[in-house]
Amino acid sequence: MKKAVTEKDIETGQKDGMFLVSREMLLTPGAREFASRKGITLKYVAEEPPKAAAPLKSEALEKLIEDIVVQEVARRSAASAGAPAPSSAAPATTAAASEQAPPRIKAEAAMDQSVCSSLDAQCRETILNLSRPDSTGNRAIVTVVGHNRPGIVARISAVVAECGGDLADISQVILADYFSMIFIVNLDGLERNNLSFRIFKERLQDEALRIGQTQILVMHENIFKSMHKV
Amino acid sequence: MLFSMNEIHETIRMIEAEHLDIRTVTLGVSLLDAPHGSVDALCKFLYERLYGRAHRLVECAAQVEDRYGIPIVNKRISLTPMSLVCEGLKTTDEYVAVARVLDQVAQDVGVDYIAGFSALVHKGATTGDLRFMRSIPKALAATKRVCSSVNLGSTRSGINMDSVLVMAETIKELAEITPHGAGCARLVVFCNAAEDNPFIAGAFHGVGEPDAVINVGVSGPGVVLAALRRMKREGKFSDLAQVAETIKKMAFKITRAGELVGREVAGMLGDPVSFGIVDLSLAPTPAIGDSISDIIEEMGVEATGAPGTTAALAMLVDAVKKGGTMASTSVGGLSGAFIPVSEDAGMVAAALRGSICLEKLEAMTAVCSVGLDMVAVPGDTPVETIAGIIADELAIGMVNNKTTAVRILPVPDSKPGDVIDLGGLLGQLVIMPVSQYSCAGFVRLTGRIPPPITSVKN
Repeated sequence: MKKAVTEKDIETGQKDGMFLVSREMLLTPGAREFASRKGITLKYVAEEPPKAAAPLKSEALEKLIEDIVVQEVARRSAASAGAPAPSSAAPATTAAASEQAPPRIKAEAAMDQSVCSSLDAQCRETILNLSRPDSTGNRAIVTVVGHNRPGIVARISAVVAECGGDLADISQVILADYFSMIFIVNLDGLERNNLSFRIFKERLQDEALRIGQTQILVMHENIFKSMHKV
Repeated sequence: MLFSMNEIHETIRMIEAEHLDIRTVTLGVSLLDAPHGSVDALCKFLYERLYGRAHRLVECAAQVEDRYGIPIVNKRISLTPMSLVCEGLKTTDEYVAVARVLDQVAQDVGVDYIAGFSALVHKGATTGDLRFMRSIPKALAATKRVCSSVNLGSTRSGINMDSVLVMAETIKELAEITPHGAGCARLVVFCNAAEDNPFIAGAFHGVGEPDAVINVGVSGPGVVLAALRRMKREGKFSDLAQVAETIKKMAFKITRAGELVGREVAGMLGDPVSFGIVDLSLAPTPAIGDSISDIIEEMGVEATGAPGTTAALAMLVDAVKKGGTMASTSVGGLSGAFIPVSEDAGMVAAALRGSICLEKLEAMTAVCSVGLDMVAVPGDTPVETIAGIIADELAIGMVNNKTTAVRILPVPDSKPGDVIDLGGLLGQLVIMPVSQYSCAGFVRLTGRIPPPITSVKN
C-alpha cells in the first residue's frame, strides 16, 4: 500500500528544507504545491531511506526484466511465425519493458517459472511490484468532490488502506474553498480481505458522510476504459 | 495517470448530469422445449424454467450497476413467442392462465416487464395463432407485467391484412377493458420484427436464438443533447459534418458502456446465458432533457414536426448508427431512435402545441426506428381506421426493409387535445386527431399485400 503524502506530512517530515520521497509514497498535488511554496526540495529515492541497498538492486532488476523480455520475445517469435506484431517489434529498451503490457506479462510469467527461484524473496517481491501496476485490470476510480478542509486525503486513503486497496495515483484540484480529487486505487488487495466492490464503495461513501459536505463516486476503471480507449 | 482528468470528468458528467443510463438489460429465454397439450404442465414448466433462468438477473444487474456507477433502469425478460409455445391450447381461459403465470414469475424475480406474449403471422395465421390473438385483450387485462407483440408483415412475405384487421379489433377491445386504454401500451404490432430486440413492449426471443441471452438497450438522448449544446456554447455549431461527428462520438461511448454492462451481466449469470447484442436506439424518457424532440429542436428546427424534422432525425439516427457500429460488433435489435410520443417530454409538448401530427410522425418513422409509438387517438376511432394506420406504417417497413411498428392507444371517451397521465416511464398521452375519411373498403379486402420487388434479392 502506497502512503499518500499531504502538506502536513511534508511539513513534519522535511529536514533542512529537504523531503525524501520514496517509491512507497504518493504525493498529492497539494503537497507538491506546498513544497514548492515553502522552498522545500523533494528528493526522490528509489526505496525507503533505511533500505539503502535497494536502489542498486532496483536498477539491476530493471536490467534483468529487460533481458528476460528480450529473451522471451525472441523465443516466442521463433516458436511461432504468427507472433503478434507489437511483441516482435518491441525494442530492447527499458522504455519498452516499463510501458508495454504484453512484454511485462511475459516477463512476469517468465519470472515465476524460472528466474525467480534463484532470487531471494525480497528481490522477487520487488520485481513483481515493478511489473504489476500497469498490467492489472482491476482498479477503481474514486472521485471526491466537496468543501475543502484538512485531513480529507488522509481519511479517504485510510479507508482505502483498511479495505486492502492500494493507491496507484492521485490527482487533485483546489478551487477557492472546494476541491476535486481523483484517486486510482488498485483493488487486488480487496479479494485477499474478502471484500466485495460494493462494500468498498459503501465504506468510502460512509466516510464521505462522516466528513460531511463531500460527495464520493467509486467506479471500476473498466467503464472508463471501454468508453475512452479503443 | 492512465486516464486524463477530462475523460474521467466526462464520464461522470454523462452519468450524473446527462441521464446516461442503460435503459434495459433484457434476458431472452428460449421455451421451445415446453410441453404441449396440458395447460397445467405448461404453466409448471414456464414457472420453473423462467424462475430458474432469471432469479439472479436483478441481483447481477445491481452488482454491475454498483461496480460501474451506471444506472440500469430496467431489468426485463423476453420469451420465445408464446403462440408457438401455446399452439396446443384451446380456450381463452387457458391463454389467460399462462399469462398469469408469466406475470407471477416476473413479479417473483423482480423484473418490471416480461415480453414475448407474441405471435408471428406475417404470412398467415394458424388456427392457434388466431385463438392466441383473440386472447390478447383478456390476457393483458388480467396481468400487469406481460407485454405482447404480433408480427404482421415482412419485406419477404408482405403484409397479412387479415391479421391486421384482427389486431385492430384486438387493440380496440383491449383499450375498452383497461383504464384509459393503458393496456395498449403493452401491445405492439410489427413489420420485420427484430428477434433480439431488448426493448419492451416488442421484445421476444426469436426462434433463431440460443437458450438464453442478455440483450442490452442503451439510452442517451440527454448525452447527445448536452454535446450539441456544448458545441453551440463553443461556437462550433455551424457545419453539419461536425454535428454528425459529435453525435457519432457520443454514440460510440454510449454503446461501449452498453456492451460492457451486457457482457458483465451475462458473465455473472453464467452458463447457458451468453451475451447477445447492444441495441443502439436512443430511447427517450419523460425526464426533462432526455428527449429526441429536444435534440431535433436543438438542431435548429423551431418545433418538432416542422419542415426539416425528418431530415434532422435522419441525420441523427445515421450518426448514432455509425458511432455505435464502430463501437461494437454486436449491434442488433432495433438500433435507431425511438419517438414514443407520450414517453418523450418534448414530443408531448409538440403534440400539445399541435406542431406534430400522426401523418408527420409516420413520415419520421421512415428514417428512424421504430414506428408510431405510444400515440393516443380518440376511443371512437373506427376499427378500420386503426387497421389503416397500422397498414400504412407496416408498408413503410416492408418497402424500406426496416422494422416498423404501431403502438396505438384508442383512449375511450376522449377527444383530440385531451391529456392523460399514465405515470412512470409511460408518460403523458396527448390525444391526437385522426383523419375522418374512411379506409374501410380497402382494409376489409382479404388476403395479403404481396411482398415488394425489393424482396426478390437472391
